[in-house]
Amino acid sequence: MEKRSAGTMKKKKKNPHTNPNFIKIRFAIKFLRAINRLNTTNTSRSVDKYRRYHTIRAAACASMASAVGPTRAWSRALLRTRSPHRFLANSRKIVAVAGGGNPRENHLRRLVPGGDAMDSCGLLKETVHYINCLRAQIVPRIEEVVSTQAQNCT
Amino acid sequence: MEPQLEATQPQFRSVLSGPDAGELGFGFDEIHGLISNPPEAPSSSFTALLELPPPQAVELLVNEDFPAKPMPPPIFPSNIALIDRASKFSVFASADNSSEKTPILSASSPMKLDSVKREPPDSDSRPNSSSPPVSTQGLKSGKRKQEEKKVKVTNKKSKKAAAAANDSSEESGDKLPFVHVRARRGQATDRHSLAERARREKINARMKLLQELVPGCNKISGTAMVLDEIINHVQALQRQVEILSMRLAAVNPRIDFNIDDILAAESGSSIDNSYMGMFAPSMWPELQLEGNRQHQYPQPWQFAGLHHPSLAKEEADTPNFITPENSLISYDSPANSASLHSSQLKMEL
Repeated sequence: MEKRSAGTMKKKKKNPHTNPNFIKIRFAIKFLRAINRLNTTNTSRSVDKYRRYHTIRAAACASMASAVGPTRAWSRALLRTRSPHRFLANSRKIVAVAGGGNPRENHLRRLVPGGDAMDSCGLLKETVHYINCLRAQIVPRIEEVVSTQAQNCT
Repeated sequence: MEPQLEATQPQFRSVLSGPDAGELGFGFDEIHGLISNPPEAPSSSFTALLELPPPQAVELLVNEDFPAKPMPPPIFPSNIALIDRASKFSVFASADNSSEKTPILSASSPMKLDSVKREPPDSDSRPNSSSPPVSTQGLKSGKRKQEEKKVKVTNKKSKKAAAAANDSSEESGDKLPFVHVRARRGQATDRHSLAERARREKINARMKLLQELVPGCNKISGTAMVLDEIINHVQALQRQVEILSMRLAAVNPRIDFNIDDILAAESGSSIDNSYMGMFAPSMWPELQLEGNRQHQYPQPWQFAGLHHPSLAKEEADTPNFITPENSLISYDSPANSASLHSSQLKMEL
């Protein structure tokens, strides 16, 4: 990914908030901490698989959002849903989604968190960052599984 | 209007005193003469002036206070300097004139300039012939006429100017922090369309970025398809995240995280390899090695084995993602047994 984007997205790389490496590291740390916390609390009970999965996913989203910080609109939206008392609810401008100027755009709005309150311009920008972050999430997760299992073997 | 005229009057003087007044053939008396000369007998130049609608003239007059741009040095004879000045005033009157055009104007078409040269001598000759008293109305009308005439001429010429200048100025306009969008030739220049155009270009720039981000979008043309691809990609990424978290959930209970060790490992080799180097290829050999080594955990590593070819490609192959998902779901019960198995092994260890 770095190779591919080296020529074109230099602007993004310089920004520490959107630099994929930083985000990966921050996300990894937070995610591991969250999972650790989950483990320590849930060791006794055999929680249902799906609930575990959901909590892990929630932890992933939350740690991702907090790793990104409140700089981006979608992370703000995510954090707002997690802990509503932390961030003041901004006055959400409700864009007319139902009017449906562009059905694809509405689809994208549904996908990207917090996409409802954004105009098309901001939506595209958020999508770019969101894709970056999703990529940052995926890669180290497999790595984690590998490394933890490797650690547990030895 | 009077104070405004008072303000414009000295400016007019300063404007003229920049380049040599002698070349222009204007003295202050002549200015006043020109200014106050009522349009008694319509000559060719003045009829051209009168064609311009009054609001534009007023605008011109009002905008004369703006002279933020430095006067160009009169390389050519001074008439051209006057034309340049007039065209600069016209920038504010109609948005499709740009100061960038006027150098082109002055540099490229001597033939047209000759025709323009003819007109100022006409106006020059007029004040010389009369010496009337100064009147504010005359000031306004006279200046307006002169500027209008120049504006009209330069309007015609700037429209004929190269469209390439338009495009280049448009490009450079977008990079300024203040959004200066120059209108292209033949496009409407009112506020709404300008703002819309700026917005559209912003959106197009972002779409281009997205296209570069999503693999395989470069070849597709058309906004709709690209958006479709983007949506597919986002969905695929989200599904991947889900799958990974399911995996983690399946594997999770037996994991005793030792954060310090893991962080040390992170700062060490493993994560560096995956971050710095290539995205997929460097990692997959590691995984495969791990999978081969650990025969105690067959089933999770079968997942990994399944995932390798699909994830290594990284083109948004949604069908590939669907099948591992199905396999994952079908492996649910074995996953349970795998976790039990692994917990047994942990206890053994």
